[in-house]
Amino acid sequence: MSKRRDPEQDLERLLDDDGGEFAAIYRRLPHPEPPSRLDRAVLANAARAVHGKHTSRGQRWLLGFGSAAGIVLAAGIAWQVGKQLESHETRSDTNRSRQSVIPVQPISESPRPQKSEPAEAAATMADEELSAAPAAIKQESARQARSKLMSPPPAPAPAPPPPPPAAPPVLEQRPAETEPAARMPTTDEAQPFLEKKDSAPIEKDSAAAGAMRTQRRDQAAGNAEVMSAPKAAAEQSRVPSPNSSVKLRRNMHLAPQDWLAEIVRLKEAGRRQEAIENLRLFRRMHPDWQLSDELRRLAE
Amino acid sequence: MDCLNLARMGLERTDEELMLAYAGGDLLAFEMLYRRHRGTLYRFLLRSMRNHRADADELFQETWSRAVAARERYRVEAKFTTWLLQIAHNLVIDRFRRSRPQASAEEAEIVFNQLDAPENEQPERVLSEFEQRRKLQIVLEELPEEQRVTFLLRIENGLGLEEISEVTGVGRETVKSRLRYALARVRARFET
Repeated sequence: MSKRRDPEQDLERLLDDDGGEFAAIYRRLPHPEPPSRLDRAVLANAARAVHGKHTSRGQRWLLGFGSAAGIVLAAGIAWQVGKQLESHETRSDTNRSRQSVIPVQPISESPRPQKSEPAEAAATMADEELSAAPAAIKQESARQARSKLMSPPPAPAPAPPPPPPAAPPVLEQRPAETEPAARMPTTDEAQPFLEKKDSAPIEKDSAAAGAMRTQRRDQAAGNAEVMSAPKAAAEQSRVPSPNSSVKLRRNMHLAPQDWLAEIVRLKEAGRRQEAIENLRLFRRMHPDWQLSDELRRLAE
Repeated sequence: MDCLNLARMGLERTDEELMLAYAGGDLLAFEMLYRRHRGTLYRFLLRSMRNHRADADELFQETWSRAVAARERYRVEAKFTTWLLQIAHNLVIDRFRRSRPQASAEEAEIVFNQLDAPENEQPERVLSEFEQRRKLQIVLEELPEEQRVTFLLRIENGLGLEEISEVTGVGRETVKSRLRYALARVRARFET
């Protein structure tokens, strides 16, 4: 007789609640436990996951707030800078108009070919605002009105104005012009004086217009005109006038030879300061250019 | 709140409740859950890995790490032990696949056929308890991976056919077949 073991029976016993004989043997096997370092590692990992999640949320908020604050700050700075630039431009425009008036006055008195562009522009603008009187009459009457308004008459320039080609530099004329401007009477003072004058209506009008124009120009000259002559001269030597800077910019686009020729011409015309500024800029832009001895001396 | 209260709270709550509580940020719930399952999980892994402690340690830690990472995806529909053992089983199978090829089913078949030999042809031996434990340990290590894991899920973790089927991802009949093969091998070892 052969008794065969029934695998199905073994399986049923295994699937019983007690697990059968093999499960019983298995339960008597040693019960190894995870080492404590594993416990620590697992629990630490679980804690990190929970706390890390909250931290990352906080960090996300911080990041968001930080970004927003940064954008607001940048926008504020940009706005402030823009505002400053705007005010600076306005100020520089005012200064330019003040400074541009300076060389205009002698131009109307003595026609010179070296008339500066900003001055021309300013004069043109002033003329357009005034009545449509003939330009010659207007200028003449303005000069008359001015000569009456200014008392005492303007002090003579330190150096007599040379003929047109050798016109004195603008810088040297400033002291002579600033003196009467500082003592300019107001419009209220000027108006009755003008009315006293017996002349044709057109002459009267043009005289008034000329006075107004002159006054406007002088007012535009502003505080810069009030400063004393040496101070103004020093200021002028430090900061090139817009007139010369415009020319400088224009000269920058000339060919090097032409620019040098212009510098020589300026020097010979007695506009030494302008020539030096041109030469400095020229040397900065063309450092390798060989200058003549004359120009080198001028630069030094 | 003292430890006694905490333990009572833990006893009153099911695994699933504790897991959900942990997913909501309750670290204490995780500690309770861990204490409940750390031993059985570790032994399952240790014996599945043929008592290689280093491997078992690594897989144990990895299993819990994955459970922690997947805490927000946990749904109560799945029993916690089934879910945890599923993670562990996948890691074990991955490790087997990386280490060496699976044992062939033919090999198991040969052993299974030996069981059909007449009882009088098999040596009748009374084994001491120590010897029985030793033989069971040896035969567990000798079982092919799939059979060993299935057998362990039954005798170590106490899972039924359906649960083993769910953990291992195979059909119920396959589970039964694997258990049959495993039992045949164990029986053969005990009767030699």
